[in-house]
Amino acid sequence: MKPTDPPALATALLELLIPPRTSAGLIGDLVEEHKNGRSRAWYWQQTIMALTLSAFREARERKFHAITAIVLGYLSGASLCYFTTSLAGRFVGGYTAYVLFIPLGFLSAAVGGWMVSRSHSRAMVFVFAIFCIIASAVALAVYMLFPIDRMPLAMTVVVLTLDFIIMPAGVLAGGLFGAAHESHSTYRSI
Amino acid sequence: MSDHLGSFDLLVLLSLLRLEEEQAYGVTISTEIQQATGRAVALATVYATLERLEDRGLVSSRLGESTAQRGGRAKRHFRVTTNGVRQVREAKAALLKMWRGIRELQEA
Repeated sequence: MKPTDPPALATALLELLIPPRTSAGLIGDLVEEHKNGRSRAWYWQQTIMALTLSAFREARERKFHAITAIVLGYLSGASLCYFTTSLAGRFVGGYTAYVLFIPLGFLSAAVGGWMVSRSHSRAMVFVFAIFCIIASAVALAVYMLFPIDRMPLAMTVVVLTLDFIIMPAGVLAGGLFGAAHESHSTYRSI
Repeated sequence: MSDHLGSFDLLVLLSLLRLEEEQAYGVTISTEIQQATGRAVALATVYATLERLEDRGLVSSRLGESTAQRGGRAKRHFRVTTNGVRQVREAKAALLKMWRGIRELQEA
């Protein structure tokens, strides 16, 4: 039997990351369509499109804010990530350090996302998350074209997981926490 | 600001004009466009266009009543303003002028 409630996380992302002017009608429409038979996959697809459109519109209309949001988020997240993972590599070492990189990377990215959500509009969090993915893709392409040294397979898997999954998720988590804390909103069960 | 109406802007405005105000909200507008064009339209795209048209004064909106079907959330109803109707008329006149006399578009 198909669940009757739409995806809770998708709805929470919409409530916290897109402007109230849009979310007021859009979320209700998505819920209505879901209750009329649309799938959860469709709901997620619509959610991602809404977040992306909102983020790019925000970045297009407020270019300077988008740039400052990305710079602030990247400097805070990347520097914290570098500092903590360097400590882990120095004092722990070996494959255990690789395992520690994942939660440290997530927390560092969350700090970056939180900083962006508290200092800029909520849509900038998604802009920053997209930037992180694009930056990782560019870095990966550069490394594949000009490999400096051969990374161990385990390290390669950790880096790819960090760059394309863990850190963007961390940015969104930190951004959601900052936005929820600001608005004092709690997710409404549907 | 340019008064130029994009093709999707025009589709949204025409959908609003075809719908009664009480029925004109995101889902019905999206359905109307899909029936006319044969292509699915994302609700977020419709809302982005409606907000842009509202900022230009071509469309106005109001919140309706919330319903359990919508998880306790209200519908946002839209209608075309007088300025919006004028813009649609001007777009129609311009398009008809351009279409006239094109051999490939003339019916057999």
